[in-house]
Amino acid sequence: MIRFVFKNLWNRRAVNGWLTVELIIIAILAWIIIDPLVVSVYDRNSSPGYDIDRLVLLSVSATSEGTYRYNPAASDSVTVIDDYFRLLSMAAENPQVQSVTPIADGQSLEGEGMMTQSLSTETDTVFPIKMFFVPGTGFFSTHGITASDPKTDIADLDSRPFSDNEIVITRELARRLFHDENAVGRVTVPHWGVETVLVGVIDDVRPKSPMNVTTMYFRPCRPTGDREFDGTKMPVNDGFSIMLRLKQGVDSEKFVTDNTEWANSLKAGNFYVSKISSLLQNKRDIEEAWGISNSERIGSALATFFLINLFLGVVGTFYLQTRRRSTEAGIMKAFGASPSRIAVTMILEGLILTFVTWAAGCVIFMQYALKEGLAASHANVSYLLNESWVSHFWVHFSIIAAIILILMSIAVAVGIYLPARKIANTDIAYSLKEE
Amino acid sequence: MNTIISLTGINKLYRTKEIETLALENVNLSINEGEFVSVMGPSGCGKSTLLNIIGLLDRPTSGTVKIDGVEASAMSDRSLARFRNNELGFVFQNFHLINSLNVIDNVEIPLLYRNTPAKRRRELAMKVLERVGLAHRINHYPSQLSGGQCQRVAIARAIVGNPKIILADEPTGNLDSKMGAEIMEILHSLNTDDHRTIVMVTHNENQAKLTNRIIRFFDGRQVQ
Ligand SMILES: Nc1ncnc2c1ncn2[C@@H]1O[C@H](COP(=O)(O)OP(=O)(O)OP(=O)(O)O)[C@@H](O)[C@H]1O
Ligand SMILES: [Mg+2]
Repeated sequence: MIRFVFKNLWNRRAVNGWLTVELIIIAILAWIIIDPLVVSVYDRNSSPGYDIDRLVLLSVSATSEGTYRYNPAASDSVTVIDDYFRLLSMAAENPQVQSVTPIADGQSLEGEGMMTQSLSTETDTVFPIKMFFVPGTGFFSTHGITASDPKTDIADLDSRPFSDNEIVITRELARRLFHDENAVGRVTVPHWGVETVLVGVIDDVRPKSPMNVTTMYFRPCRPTGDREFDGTKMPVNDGFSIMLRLKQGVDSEKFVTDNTEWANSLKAGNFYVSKISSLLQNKRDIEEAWGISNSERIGSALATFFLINLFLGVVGTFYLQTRRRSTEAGIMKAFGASPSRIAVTMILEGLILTFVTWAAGCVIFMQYALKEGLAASHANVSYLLNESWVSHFWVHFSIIAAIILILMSIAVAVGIYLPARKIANTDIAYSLKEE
Repeated sequence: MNTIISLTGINKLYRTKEIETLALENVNLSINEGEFVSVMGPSGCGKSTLLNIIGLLDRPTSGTVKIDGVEASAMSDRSLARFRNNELGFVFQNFHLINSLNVIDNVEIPLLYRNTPAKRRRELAMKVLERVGLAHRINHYPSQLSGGQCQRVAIARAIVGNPKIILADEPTGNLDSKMGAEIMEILHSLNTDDHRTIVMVTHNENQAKLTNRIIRFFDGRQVQ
């Protein structure tokens, strides 16, 4: 049967030649459209490395000196710290909130500020992104950060007092520093020049959604009301942020709309909440600011539009081609082919054609891709890592090629099946009369 | 003599939006094994319809069709296909060869649906092509053959699966008289030498006279 299918394909080459050219062009177009589309969809949906869904950020500001609301009695460092803790526990009292953790001003995940600072071993120096956390405040569990090695326990990290020279690092950073992930207990020298012990290794985190996963480390700091800038202190006088982890089942965006008044009511000394936003919203804002959302939205819409057109085009072409074969189907049936046999034979012909043209299209596109590269994740800044399938050429190539093959096969099979089923079930006498 | 084809109370009604045509009206007919029967009548009287019903290519509106003892109305599409493949061979006025296949592949088609191994298919196809005098043309395509040659290929295809019954609808209708005579010679030999039952529609009185029996139709009714 297969041999007959091949013969038929070859002998119908006048028709199939055109179909072949058309399908090769479609395979190449599919590459041009699908590759960036898949990469961007993957980027948008890949995990940020922590549980972003139920996080809400309260931005806390301080009334400035000289304005009429300013309370000079609450400006000494002891009261400031007192008020800071009061505000934290007020936030934690909301019945929909599960836990809270303080964040240095502007330095939250999906936030604006972010800095890289060096970390060295005897042989390597890496420039990871640094984030501060306040020990004993449930920073790790509130974010939904997860441990990446068996020696690290998130509950321990949450409750550990931390000395100034203990830090937590991400898995990729451990790999870069020690070329393995077994980093707990080992020592590095950070930019502040004191040997520092690694007390935990956590799963990689994507600090901003437009970025890829990158290397990060987390340094303990303690809140102070003394406006003291030192690597181990977090001055809160001018404001800070509070990260809220909502309880299971609470929608963060709905929480924000329902709780603006509550947020406005949170005041302690000179501190007040100036903004409440879900982390998902912050993420969208950042994407917007980086110009990604918009161009991407337009790009995806166009790509989807073209893709649907291509798909329908292929379906239509094969539909018309197959419908013309009703006499042939009638003959086959008169000599003993069952309707399903006719449909299967025709679909098989189409799939063989699809496979050949797909392979040709891939080889042609490969010539281009080897020179120019495949679609890349956005924001490929040098200090970001590219460790997903997107950046491994052959893995990337195979995945997209497989997607294209599947889509083409579906289009061709549908285009053939619909008329083939019909002509295979038409009365033979009727099919044979047509010509 | 065994009855191999038996039609009882056959009616065939074609319904289109505008009109209804009663193409066959109460046809009762039986044909014996080994008979060579011609069907005659004016154009549009229902000859092709009759042949299609005998060949199980079309179902009657009412009545029963029994071929080789089996009642056709009870069969599924799949078993009809198998039955046609084993029992019936068709020859059409306009040949109905598959243009994208060469002569030998066209002849092999009925065997293909029987899952005969490739080598055996080739042997059997060669044998029938020799019989119709086309063994030297096996790699030609239908478009490279004359009408008479095409019809001989069609006959080869009709007999390659060794069916008991051959149904021919104006097999010489598109051929000149010399080629028509060649085709008739082959059909007669299939009847006398191989004892195949043949039902042939024809407009040619001379051809009809040489067959065992003539069935005449007029306006969907059998008149003789
Ligand atoms: N599919 C159909 N739909 C409607 N009417 C049909 C159909 N097929 C045949 N008919 C009608 O049935 C009648 C018999 O047609 P049939 O083809 O059997 O005639 P015929 O005797 O073979 O004629 P000819 O000698 O011209 O081949 C005709 O009147 C024809 O118009
Ligand atoms: Mg006719």
